[in-house]
Amino acid sequence: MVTETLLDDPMQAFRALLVGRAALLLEDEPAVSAHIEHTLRGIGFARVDCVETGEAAVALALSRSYDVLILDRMTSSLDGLTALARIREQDTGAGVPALFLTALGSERHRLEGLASGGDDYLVKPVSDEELLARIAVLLRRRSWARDDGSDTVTVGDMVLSKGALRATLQGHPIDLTAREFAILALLADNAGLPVTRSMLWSRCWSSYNFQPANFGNTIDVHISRLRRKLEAAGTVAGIDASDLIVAVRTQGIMLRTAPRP
Amino acid sequence: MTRAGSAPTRLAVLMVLFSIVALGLSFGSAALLDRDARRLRAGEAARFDMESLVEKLKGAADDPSAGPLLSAATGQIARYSGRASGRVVLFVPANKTAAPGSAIWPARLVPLKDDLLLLPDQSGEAVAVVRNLPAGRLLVARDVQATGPLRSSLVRYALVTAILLLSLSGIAAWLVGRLFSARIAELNTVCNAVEAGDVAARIPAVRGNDELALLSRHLNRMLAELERRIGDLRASSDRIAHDLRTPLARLGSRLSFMADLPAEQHAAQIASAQREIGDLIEAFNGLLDLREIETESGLVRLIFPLADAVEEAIELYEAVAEDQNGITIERRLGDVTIEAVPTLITRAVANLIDNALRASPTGGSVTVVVSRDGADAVVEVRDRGAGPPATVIRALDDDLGQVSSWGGHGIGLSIVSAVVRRHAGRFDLTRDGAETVASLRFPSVPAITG
Repeated sequence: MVTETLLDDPMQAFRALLVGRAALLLEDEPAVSAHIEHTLRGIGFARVDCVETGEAAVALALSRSYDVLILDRMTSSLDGLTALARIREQDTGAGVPALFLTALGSERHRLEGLASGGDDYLVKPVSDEELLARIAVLLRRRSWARDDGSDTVTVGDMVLSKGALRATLQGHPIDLTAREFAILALLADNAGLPVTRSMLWSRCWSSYNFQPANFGNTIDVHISRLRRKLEAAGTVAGIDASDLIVAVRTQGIMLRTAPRP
Repeated sequence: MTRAGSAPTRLAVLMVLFSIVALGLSFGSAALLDRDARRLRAGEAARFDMESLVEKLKGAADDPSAGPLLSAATGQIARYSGRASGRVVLFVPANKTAAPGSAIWPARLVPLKDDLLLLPDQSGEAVAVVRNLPAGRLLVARDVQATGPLRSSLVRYALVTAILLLSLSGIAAWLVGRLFSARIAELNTVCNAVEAGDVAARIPAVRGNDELALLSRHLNRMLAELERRIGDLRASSDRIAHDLRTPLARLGSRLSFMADLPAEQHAAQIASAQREIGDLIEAFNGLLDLREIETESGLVRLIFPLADAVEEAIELYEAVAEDQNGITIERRLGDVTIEAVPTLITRAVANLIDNALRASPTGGSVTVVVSRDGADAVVEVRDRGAGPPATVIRALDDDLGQVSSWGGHGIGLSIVSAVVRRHAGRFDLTRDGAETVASLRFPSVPAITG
């Protein structure tokens, strides 16, 4: 888990999660493939295997060990969707987090991707930050899978009870709307890691199957309302909670594990 | 594959075969009826003969010792009348000694009806009556006539009826078959035309309400829907071509402009090219969304209160409007139910609210109204902005698909139009005094209760 020493640079915890990892990339467009490989190696990935066909992806995924699979859908001969379904059929390929990175972006396509065993679905083009943040969340989620299945999340002085939709700061309840609770829960699940606005949108506004042009504004307004409520709760509890939620780089928002001393 | 046009002939042959079976059964029963009638007539005659005989032999019939006399008398009668007259008279004395010349008692007598017995014979049937006298048993029988007047007319009429019936049913079946195969040929002609690419082909003048007429109407409706979707798809791809070509051309000229610039000025050019690409991708996504709304068949329609979908749309903008622009959204949401794809309705209303917010001055307000107007459910989004240019309103009246860039946010109104068309609704953009009113109208349905 994240330690105090990492808190000064939020990106450090993020990098720590990605360093030394191995990825399998199925992508038949050489320029895209080279760019993603460059990005992953740049953040510290130890191994990035790039393949152009679904068959090669199935063979590699079942013979070597990977931390994450990044799959395009429309590849020559075997497509990414079928390839993942075949990988998931085998015991060795059942537990690896898989991320679709594809140009097919309709609601139906997303559902197909998740139904075939994908853990996340990204529509091209995506920024490097977005891709890395999504991979980090997948890796973090896998480490929880080994944890207990409790619905209570504790981040510093804050305790979130997901079943009861209740959040407290040092025992003092924070008055949140359902949407604000969903945002805080997603941030708490990834405490210490940047969560991108598009991740926030796809998880906390999932009932809308479209993304309005101003979705970034919408998220920012909700985040600042959430910040104000945390600050108010902090005042009651006698702690400074003004910078519990911080902006990270251009796209990310992060919940700090403890207020700045 | 069956030879074209063989259906009427096959139907006619089948009908003739059925008629032959039906005729066979009817005439068979008539023949049996006639046989029973002839047997009963013979039986009546035999009874009459028995009564006359007993009357004539009065005294002897009641005398137990008159056996020889009766044997002789019946032998006499049999000789006198002979087999040729169709009569049989037999007497068997009680002491079993048959008089010389008298015939032996028949081996088989089958009960027929009441006291009548059937006497099968090599030369034909006879029906007998038997009476037990003190002196012995007396049998009087009459031959069943081989032909009767009924039978001969039956044969005569059967022939005429069979010829008439068989030809009539054959011709009728052939005509009916031809009528149907002509209508099926019409369907095939339309199918061939569609196969060849003409989706505007329709089955002409469908009349009546039989299965074939229903099938024809279904086919016509199906083709109309297919034509609409193909039309929408064409319009979509035209729009994609139009909306993407212009920015792509701009990008191209920016790149050639960049080639002539010194390297230190490239960074700024790259940044604006990236912005341009971002806009391009956004426009492209919008067009894909539009295509999905117009042609995707997997979106599920539900029956739900219109206010729910509208509230979702308001919620999307309310916080931003209040916190960033100081604009309040006022709502008057009435209770009316529609059958639609909820997320699409939310999306259309969200686009209208977005437009209204952009048009509204800081500190202003936008009003959202949901109401019932007769059989319609209506959503109105009112703002106090300057309103759309006249060209937008005109374009809306002419062709909804053409409105693509008003409001400065891509294809917002095209999406509204597509959603409305998909739900057989109406979209109007009007001025009401100082207000701009964007209204959506959908057919309302009764709410699901319980």
